[in-house]
Amino acid sequence: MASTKQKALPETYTVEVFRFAPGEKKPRYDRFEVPVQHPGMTVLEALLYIKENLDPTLAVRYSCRMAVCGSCGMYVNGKGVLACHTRLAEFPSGKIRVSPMPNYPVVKDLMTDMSEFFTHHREVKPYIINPEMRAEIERPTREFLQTPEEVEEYLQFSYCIKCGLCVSACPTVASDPDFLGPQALMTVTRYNRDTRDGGWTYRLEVVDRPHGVWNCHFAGACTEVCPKGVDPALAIQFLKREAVVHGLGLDRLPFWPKRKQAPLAPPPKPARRKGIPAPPPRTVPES
Amino acid sequence: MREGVAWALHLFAGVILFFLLLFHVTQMHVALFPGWGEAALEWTNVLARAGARGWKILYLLFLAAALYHGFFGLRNVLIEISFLRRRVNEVTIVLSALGVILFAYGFYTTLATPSPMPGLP
Ligand code: SF4
Ligand code: FES
Repeated sequence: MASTKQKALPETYTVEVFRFAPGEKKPRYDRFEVPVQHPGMTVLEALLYIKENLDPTLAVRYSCRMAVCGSCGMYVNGKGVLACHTRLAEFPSGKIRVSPMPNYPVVKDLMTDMSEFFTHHREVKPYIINPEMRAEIERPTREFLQTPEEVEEYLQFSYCIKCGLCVSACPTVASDPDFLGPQALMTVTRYNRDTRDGGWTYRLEVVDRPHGVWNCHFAGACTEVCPKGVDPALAIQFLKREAVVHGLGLDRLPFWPKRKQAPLAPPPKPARRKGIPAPPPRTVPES
Repeated sequence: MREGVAWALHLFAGVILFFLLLFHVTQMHVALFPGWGEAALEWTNVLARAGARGWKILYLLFLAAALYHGFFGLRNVLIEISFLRRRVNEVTIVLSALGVILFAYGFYTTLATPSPMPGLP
């Protein structure tokens, strides 16, 4: 019979933390002994223990503590992770080494400067652009209708939480800091495949250039590291195909499948069901 | 030219190169195996091939594909990993000019071979 007994966790963890502050010449690793407080204790909890009890000057970025906000991307024993989503139990040796994400400038200790990342993200207009439906998009009255299959086309790419781990793992970003990076490129696919969107030509212009989509060598490190199961490498290959098809004008051929545009849902029926009283009149004027 | 179209051509040139290389290798090198097509390597036959119109076209295609594939690849490497990262236009112009000069030289050499070769049976 297979044993269901779990291997006991070490009572304390030796946590080596990358330290660097502006003005310092060289970074270093500081070593802390952290008692394990409960079996599910995470790396972020260990770092917060250090900050609260051992060294309040430790800089670490976090917010939601539940793998949603994307703030706590860092490297533990050389692997890119969300610190709030990584248990100490994953490292039974009782020793971990925590470093900031590579490919970003370090602000302080484990905090990296993400401004370039968000510049690239903003550059691809990461939102629905639909000039023909502008009024509806700005003041929505109804929903756009999409089939489950149409949603499936982009759904996994919409799970991105902008943690930046994919960019930190990308070997092309390491050699070419001007490269748009997997997150921004993946975002283009996310919106270009959305049938509510009409901004795909603009986004293709942004990525179809040197340091754009063609610099991806399909190493796949972005997909491997992504904590949300997004496959940016796949998204980039879709994008390459889209750019080649558009660049060669194949999508203008009569037999080429045309892009779908999500229709607006029909206006809601005004009639009320019998027996349900009308709402009371407004007490405040409509703004 | 759009970057995407240039990239697609790069791949296409790679595919052409693959087939032409296969052809070149099987014609010029596999013939080295004893008892298999040695006649193809006899000097008179090599010269006859160099002068034949079909071979000239094939080798010009080979040259164009190799130059485009090689120089576009080199340009991408240079603008990705070197100090020339922000000099995309300059790198593109210099390498294109070099490619055109080399093609012109190859074109001249290929055409300069009389077709058909005089004095051959
Ligand atoms: S694709 Fe994944 S790794 Fe990259 S930013 Fe989004 S969630 Fe993070
Ligand atoms: S703190 Fe929000 S993702 Fe980790």
